[in-house]
Amino acid sequence: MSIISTENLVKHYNSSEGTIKALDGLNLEIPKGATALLGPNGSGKSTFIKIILGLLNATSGSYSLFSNKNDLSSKNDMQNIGYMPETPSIISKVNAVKYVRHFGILSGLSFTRAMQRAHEVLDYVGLKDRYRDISDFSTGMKQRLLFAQSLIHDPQLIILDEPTSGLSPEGRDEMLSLISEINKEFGKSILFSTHILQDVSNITNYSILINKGKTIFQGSPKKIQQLYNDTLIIEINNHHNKIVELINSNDYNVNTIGNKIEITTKIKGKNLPSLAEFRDLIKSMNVNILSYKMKKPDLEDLFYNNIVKDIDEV
Amino acid sequence: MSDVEDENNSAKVYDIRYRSLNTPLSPPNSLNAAYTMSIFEIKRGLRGTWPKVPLILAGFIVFGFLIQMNSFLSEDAVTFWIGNIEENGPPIGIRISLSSMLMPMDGPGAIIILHIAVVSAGLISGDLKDRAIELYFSKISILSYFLSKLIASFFLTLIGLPLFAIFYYLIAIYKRLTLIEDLTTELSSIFEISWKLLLTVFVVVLFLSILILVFSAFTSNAVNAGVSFVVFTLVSRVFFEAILFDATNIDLFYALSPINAIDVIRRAILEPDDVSDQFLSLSIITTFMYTILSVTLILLKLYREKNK
Repeated sequence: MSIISTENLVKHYNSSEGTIKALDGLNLEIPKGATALLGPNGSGKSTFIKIILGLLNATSGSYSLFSNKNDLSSKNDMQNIGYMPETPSIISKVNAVKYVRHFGILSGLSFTRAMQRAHEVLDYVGLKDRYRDISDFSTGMKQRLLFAQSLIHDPQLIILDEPTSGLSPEGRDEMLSLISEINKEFGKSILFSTHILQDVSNITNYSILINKGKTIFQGSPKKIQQLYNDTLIIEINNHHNKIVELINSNDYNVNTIGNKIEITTKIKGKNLPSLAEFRDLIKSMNVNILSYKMKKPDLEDLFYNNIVKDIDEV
Repeated sequence: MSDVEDENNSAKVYDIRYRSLNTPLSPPNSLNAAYTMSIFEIKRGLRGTWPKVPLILAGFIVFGFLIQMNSFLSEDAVTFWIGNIEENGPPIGIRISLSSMLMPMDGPGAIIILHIAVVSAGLISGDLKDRAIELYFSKISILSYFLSKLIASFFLTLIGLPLFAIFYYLIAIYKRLTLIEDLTTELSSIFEISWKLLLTVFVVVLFLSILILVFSAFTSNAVNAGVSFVVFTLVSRVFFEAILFDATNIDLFYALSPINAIDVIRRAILEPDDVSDQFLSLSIITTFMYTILSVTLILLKLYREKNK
């Protein structure tokens, strides 16, 4: 069952340069669980999230939230959503407990319960320095604070807009593990907008790719990888140009980087040469193979080098 | 016990897990949201303000004395502060103090009002700067947000009005009461004076709060907002009164300065005989015009920010 679905969702902005189509007939279904919302900057991710949160009105089309049509949904639906915005959203002259408690009260908790709950969620996200002015917090602490704020009212769905941006590698791992835990162990649905694709394959089981306001792909992250072939990376000691010519004539794409040659197939489904086949191919030349490596497609490479390019070409 | 064991034991004690809420949430309520937000903002606005109060008061006193040195030197000190109400109305020193409170561009009141403006001015600009506004609008409506900021701005400005205003009110009431022998008249006087003073404070503070909020909504931080507010009120007064009104003697120009307009209304409440009907009408119109314009601008700005 989907928790969010859209039907021909359109959002146009008027600017001095004319009408900008932020969403151009977006159709998607987001199931329960952890879903990654992928797309380059300006693809429409944030616009989509803001419409779901009631911050923006769609130009046309409709969406369903927890199976309620948007025109029937009420503010009560919003109580089932936790939101961690991309930007810091910090309020000065207030400490972490008061900050989180305040949003708890605004979400419908009593003062006492909001205070208890603020401590619980701050404990959970591991924010220790909770009585200091939050304006002085580091980026990592601010991200934890915002995550705690999104959990204060125990929502069914948590929308995280670029939750790992600006974090150190350690901070990123910790944040991802918290997000993964909240989804897998506590059954919360997560909608996770990001452009850092490494984050996606680790914690989400469903991906939605959008570009120019349209859905390009919906499915598991692995499915995206299956759409594209592996890359063979071979390192050789000499005769690079001859080998490139030879490989090019065999329905392969070739790209050279220093001593290395990257080979992909021109025809989907066609296998790359095995090490033995490659040796056969170059046996007439006096070339030593220094290394032979088959690389699985990286989501980031796929997205930026293939998917976006393909769409642009269309 | 070794440090490592200590640490392990602590880790067991504080093994934190996510817990479900198990408490139903109250249904969303705009008035509750506005109330919660106002209290939060007033507390936040006052944080860091109280330690500055002695400094503000000291600055107020010194500045007041410096500016009004001529009056101070030319009159007996007692007359200056306590005065002779039968002949001159409220004593000049106190009168100047009150004027400074409610007419912030003259004398020491500017320091206080500037400070209060800066405190209040952070109410919207801070949220805009760090995009907390987006988080708020995902939970509450624009109107609840606006209402909460207006209430907070009103109370912050009110709390910030210096104690001298209260001091003046007490002396003024005392002085007037001692002149009245009839008890019935005395009681009616207490009511009349208190009512007028309360109304004056409410009208002036509300108007200042709305003006401060406009600058808060259109600047990126509290200091910019506070300073812009003071500069605007000063410049508008100089432009409309010192240039246009002095050159043309057209009453409308005098009343077009927001500070002049609210001062005319203040005087009309406290001392109705001092203000002509035409001045009062014009001042009410311009005050109303500035209020409507300010509220519209703030709401439009909030709407635009919500839809960004």
